[in-house]
Amino acid sequence: MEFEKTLKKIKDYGFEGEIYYSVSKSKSVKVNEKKIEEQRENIDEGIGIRVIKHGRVGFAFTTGNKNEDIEKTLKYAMEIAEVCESDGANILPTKDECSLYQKIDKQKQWFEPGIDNLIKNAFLCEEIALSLDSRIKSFRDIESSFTHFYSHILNTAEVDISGEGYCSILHITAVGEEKGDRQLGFEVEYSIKEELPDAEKVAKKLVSKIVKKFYPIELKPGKYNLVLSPFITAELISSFITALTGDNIYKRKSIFVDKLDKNIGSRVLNIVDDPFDYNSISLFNFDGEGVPVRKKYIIEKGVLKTFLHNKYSSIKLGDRLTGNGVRAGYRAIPGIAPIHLNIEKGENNFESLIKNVNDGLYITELMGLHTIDTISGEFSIGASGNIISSGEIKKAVHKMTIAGNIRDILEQIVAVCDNTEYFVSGVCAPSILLEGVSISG
Amino acid sequence: MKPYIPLNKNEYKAIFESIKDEFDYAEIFCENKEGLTLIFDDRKLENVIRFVSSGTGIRLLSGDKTIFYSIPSDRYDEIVNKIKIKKTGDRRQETEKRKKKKEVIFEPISEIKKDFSAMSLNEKADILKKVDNSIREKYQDVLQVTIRYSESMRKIFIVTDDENVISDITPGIIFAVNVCLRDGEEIRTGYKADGGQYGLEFFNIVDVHKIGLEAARIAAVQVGANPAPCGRFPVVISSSAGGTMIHEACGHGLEADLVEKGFSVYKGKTGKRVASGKVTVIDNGRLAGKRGSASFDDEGIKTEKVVLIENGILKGFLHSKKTAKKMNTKPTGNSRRESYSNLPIPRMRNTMINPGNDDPLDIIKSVEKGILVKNMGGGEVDPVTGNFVFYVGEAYLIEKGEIKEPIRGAILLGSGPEVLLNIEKVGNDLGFNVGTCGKEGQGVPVSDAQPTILIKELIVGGQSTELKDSIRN
Repeated sequence: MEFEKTLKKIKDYGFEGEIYYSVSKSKSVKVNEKKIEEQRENIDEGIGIRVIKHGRVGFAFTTGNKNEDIEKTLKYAMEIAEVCESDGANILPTKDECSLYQKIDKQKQWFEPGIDNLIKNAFLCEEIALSLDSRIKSFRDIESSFTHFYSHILNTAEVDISGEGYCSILHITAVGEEKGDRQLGFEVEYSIKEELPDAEKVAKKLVSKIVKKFYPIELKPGKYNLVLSPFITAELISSFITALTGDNIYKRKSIFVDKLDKNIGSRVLNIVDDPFDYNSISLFNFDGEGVPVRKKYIIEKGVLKTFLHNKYSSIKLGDRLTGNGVRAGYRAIPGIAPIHLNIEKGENNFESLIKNVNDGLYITELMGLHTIDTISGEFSIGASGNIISSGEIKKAVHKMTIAGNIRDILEQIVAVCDNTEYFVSGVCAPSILLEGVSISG
Repeated sequence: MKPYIPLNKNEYKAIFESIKDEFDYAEIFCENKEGLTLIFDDRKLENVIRFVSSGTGIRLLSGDKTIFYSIPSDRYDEIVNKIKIKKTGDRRQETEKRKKKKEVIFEPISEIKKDFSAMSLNEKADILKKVDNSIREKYQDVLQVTIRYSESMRKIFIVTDDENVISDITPGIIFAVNVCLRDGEEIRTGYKADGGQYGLEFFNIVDVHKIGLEAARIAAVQVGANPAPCGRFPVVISSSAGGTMIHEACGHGLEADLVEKGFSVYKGKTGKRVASGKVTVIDNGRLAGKRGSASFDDEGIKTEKVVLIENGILKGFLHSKKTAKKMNTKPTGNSRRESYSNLPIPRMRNTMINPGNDDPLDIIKSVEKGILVKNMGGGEVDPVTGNFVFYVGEAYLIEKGEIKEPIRGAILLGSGPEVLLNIEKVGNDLGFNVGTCGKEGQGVPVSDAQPTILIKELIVGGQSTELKDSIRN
């Protein structure tokens, strides 16, 4: 692969340009009923080329790594740039902006678990799950996978950075049955350490989730105090994070426009983008454009501290770079997203919170979150969970609807627990308590 | 269109010779997909992406176990070497070898009439600009117009070890418009999309200005509208809403892999009543021009019209080779993969409720108090319980058989099986929707369609200020 030559060609044609190359090699196994169902090895490799001339951008990508494919891709990208409209904010990050990379030292050693260990881990998880509760009847998926990935970004402004890492994931989806009622549950855990995810921990969490769901009843409408499971906190906060990205702010497509440094939520709410969190899945100290990532508060004590930017949106809004130019691999140009979203834990003990909450519901599922309108903040979603009565998580409830506005929900957070969990979506969160939320059904 | 033949006979025979003896079944799947996406936003061409995605997947079956390797472009050797090393331990079971040698079978369903290269990038960008203008000329308070145009050409080449050699080509166009209008301090959104398996003749068949204006109109209807009430109501879903409901509420439950593993409410119900007698549900892969169509599926099985539910009785499921074998039936041509790097699984194609006999206007007139839905957004379903949630784009109150004021922000909740049994009327019209269906991390292009239908009762979730205080359980 002749990246340096390609960059030179780009310059010779009068363009600025960026090459994004990545390769990921993954192995995975799926098991069921003590047999191996699937064994897979995938290589995903490709190159995305972005070129800019007089503020006009062109982008094209190709799978593979052949030089003739790179040439063809470059040609496509340049053709596109000729046609696009000029925008002065289309500038690549420069070497000066990309000189201070903080070390991310989470993986000191090479790790290669091998297919046999993946199989063993998957079987172990299945075995433990079945042994924990006789109501666990069958599995839709038990998948154990390992991926090694490498990315390299170079541009004509002398940015040149690369990184590699690995990640193992254990994923299990099962059905439990009790006297004719069937309920589905899933659990996913990752590991960036030199060991596979803990099969026993995954099995225990899965079983605990499923057995809480049997024989759900429908709830009468009213106002309740909602305790969200850590997973649901993560899901809820993630669902409106696009409202905090620079592109939506400068286009005024967000409820948070003009809200910088203003109070947008409860005082107990702290959300930080922290790529250096030791347990987080973020392994590169650069974003999808080569800009150094850094830790920053997005919301601090309820006050909006910063938007998230890629180079383009930082210029549009006149803000400093935040290193959030995340791209979905070589198939896309850098968008904007958190690197590792941490809804910071609070001081409340989860068990004590459950014991003391009145009119409480423990929410474990939300449906339709992807339809939240980040422009108006309005949402209408389905919810399931459990009634909290006499200080305990009890009867399952389903078919609830929660309708409202994100603005109000953020104000309604009255307590944050200390039971933080990490999720493969790149978020970690604890349980939170929302006061006085209207539920209908 | 010419067939896609990346491997000649000697090449694929050589691959098979070196790998297949230890397995019951082997298959080589090559895919080449090229395309272009234009995104027009904020009054300008914001993003253009051109791509080539090409690769090979080799799949081997040994008893119940599947072994799969995938790699970009034509680096077959890397896969073959990997398989050679692992050859021990997987003994081939006795199977009948068919010696018939076939030429490449190529019978595409949707032939394009005007190649994508017949218009320049500038000309295509110009169309988007014009649609943006026509929306802004007609509507005030436009906050944003986002237009996405995608064209693609997917070519596949499959060789199965019983010497079937198949090539298929599916073009694709999608034209989607999202409009945001201001409503005081708030914002109302409307979305409309159309597309299918066409070349550039799409622009002669479909007036894309109408797509844009419809998206804007859907947003405009919500401006000043009251929030939707909460409660249980009879719901009329107009054919203009397309088939989101049938796709989400019932379609996934009819995919045989979910059924076979016990993850569908429809397991064990073949031959039983699962819907009202007025309901017939089919999935048809052979509709020319429709987004989910193909001549052959991604395992080389010819697609067909599959009758899933007939007059309310469950007849069959959507199958892959694997599920068909397990359930002792024939594959239906519904085995699909997002790309060469995925394994094929049963998927929907063009799923619909057949038109019935009722007049759509009479259906509305028959409702004393209810909701009329004319446009739907996305949705989610749990195929084990059948519970679903849908977002509603455009809806109105019905009172005494008359369409009254528009309502906004509604969601519909229910259970797929209950809804099907509670479809009381089925109109004699039909409306299509296009989209991309997601399952197990794989997105595939689909369409879905419904006539105007009346559902006896659904839970409507909204933001009505009139919430009763409750007596909790």
